[in-house]
Amino acid sequence: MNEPLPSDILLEVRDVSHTFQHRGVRRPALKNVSFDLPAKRTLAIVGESGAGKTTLARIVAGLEQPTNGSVSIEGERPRLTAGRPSPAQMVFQDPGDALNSFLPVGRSVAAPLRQLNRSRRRERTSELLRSVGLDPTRANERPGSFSGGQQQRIVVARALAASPKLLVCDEPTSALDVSVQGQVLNLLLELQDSLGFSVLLVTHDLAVVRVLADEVIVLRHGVVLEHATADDFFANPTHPYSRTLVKEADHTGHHRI
Amino acid sequence: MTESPVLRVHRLNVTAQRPSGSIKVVEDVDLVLGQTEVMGLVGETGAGKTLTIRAFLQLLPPGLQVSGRLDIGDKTIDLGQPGAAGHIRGRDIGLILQDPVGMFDPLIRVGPQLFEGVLRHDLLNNEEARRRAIDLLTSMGFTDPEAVLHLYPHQLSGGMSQRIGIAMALMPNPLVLVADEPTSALDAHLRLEVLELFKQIAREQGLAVVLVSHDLGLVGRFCDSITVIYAGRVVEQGHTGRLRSHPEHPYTTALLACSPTLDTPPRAPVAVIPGTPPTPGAWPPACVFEPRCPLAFDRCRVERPALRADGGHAAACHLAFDERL
Repeated sequence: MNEPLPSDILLEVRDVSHTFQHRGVRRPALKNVSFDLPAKRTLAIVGESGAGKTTLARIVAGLEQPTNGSVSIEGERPRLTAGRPSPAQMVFQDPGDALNSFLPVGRSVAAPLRQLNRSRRRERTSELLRSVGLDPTRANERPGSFSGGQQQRIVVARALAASPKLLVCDEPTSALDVSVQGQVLNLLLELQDSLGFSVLLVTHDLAVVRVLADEVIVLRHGVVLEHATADDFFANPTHPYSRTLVKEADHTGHHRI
Repeated sequence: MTESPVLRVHRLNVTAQRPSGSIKVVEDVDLVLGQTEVMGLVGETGAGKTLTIRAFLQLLPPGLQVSGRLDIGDKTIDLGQPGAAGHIRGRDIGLILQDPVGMFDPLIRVGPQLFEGVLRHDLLNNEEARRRAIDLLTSMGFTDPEAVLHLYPHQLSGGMSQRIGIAMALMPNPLVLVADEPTSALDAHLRLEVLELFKQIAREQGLAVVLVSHDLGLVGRFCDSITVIYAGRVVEQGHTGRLRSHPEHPYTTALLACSPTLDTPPRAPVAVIPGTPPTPGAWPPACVFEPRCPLAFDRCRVERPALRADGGHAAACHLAFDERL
């Protein structure tokens, strides 16, 4: 990186390409994806399945290394290092899969807090559970005794334990009941306002994008077709494919009579 | 809801035996389905939607007791009699499960799996089964149905599996198709396609469809009628247009309001239903929705609201069909 970064850019993705290889067959998933995400903003990545959305999210979170190109969060490459939680934390689609079903939820949430002493760690765990609207006295219960919406709150609490600069949310509400989707969306809005992290949101639900996102990237076959502010994207999608997406979503719009 | 219903479920009750006593998990559910009618059975996780359909198909796990009656075509089945529904399952009623991929045996090609049911029931011979499968796959939008029969399940995409699953349920030419969350494992744009397909099947094959879903906003667009179920009870039942434009039950109103749309203002809080649904055994004694209801008043805490009907529309709320709502 030769030129100095504007100070408020948190995430920088430069020319990222990724190719999966299986038994000699190469399948490109991302082709030369570049974008910046300023601090405290929310960027949504939309597209149909197979577009490369989840691959991009995993690369940004450091769960996958790109074949080419670079990702940096505050100038550093995200990587998984034991004992040092990444500045990018992930909220997965299915909270039932994301939590260890044998581990009391308090211990899941406390996992990124190993550097703290015991009493401080317990205190912080309670604080985190409270911040996502759960009763801290239930910290000793296992995920099975919580509902889907509550489990997703626990996943959010665990992600926040590492005080992340960036929350990567992969379809955070699509495995949830309609009646609790709103609760999780409201929670993300609230926490972002109070804690000031950035969000990279991966979803195919444009209504969720409308609620959460400041900017939108449309991805198809691993290529960025459009990058616009959310207002422009919904009012005036420029790419024909984006227009189809918005029109289709408008058509499926809930309780529009 | 036409004059001669093709399926009628009458006073369906499901009781679970626990060491602490018996717990009702489905209470007095009535369903009526006319020919070519598509009905949505809507409710949150744990409301008893899946239990309801499994109860009238007698597919419940052991430990659950069922009572009630099922009328289908000209047959009447006492659901309290174990095994009574065995001969209508996969014959008069076809079932489609949530996970289209898990529905198939991974080691057997699509063809034999499609034929198995009708051959076992002796409804068709080999050649007829093959022809029917090919017809059905064609109407499901496959351009080369012959080739599909030779595929293994792992060679199918999610949408293909779901369409083949529907074809499989239609093989014995049933009167009713029951689909349990048929779209939740699918992509957003495939969901519409599959729901549209159900509507088309009902029209073209002349059968009735029950669509079980948690998404009232989505499924409501494809159903003729909707039954909303909450804590094991029917809280509202009626024609889709009426139910969506003038819901009588506060729960239905809340459910309709809580999905965000493209018109939702950005970064503004989304409407939610406060609290969580009650767990079986901990249901409020009178109105089950009372603790979460914005309109609850004294009567709701002491008197259970009956399911009252008014011109083909029914709701279980003291305030239903009243000026105040």
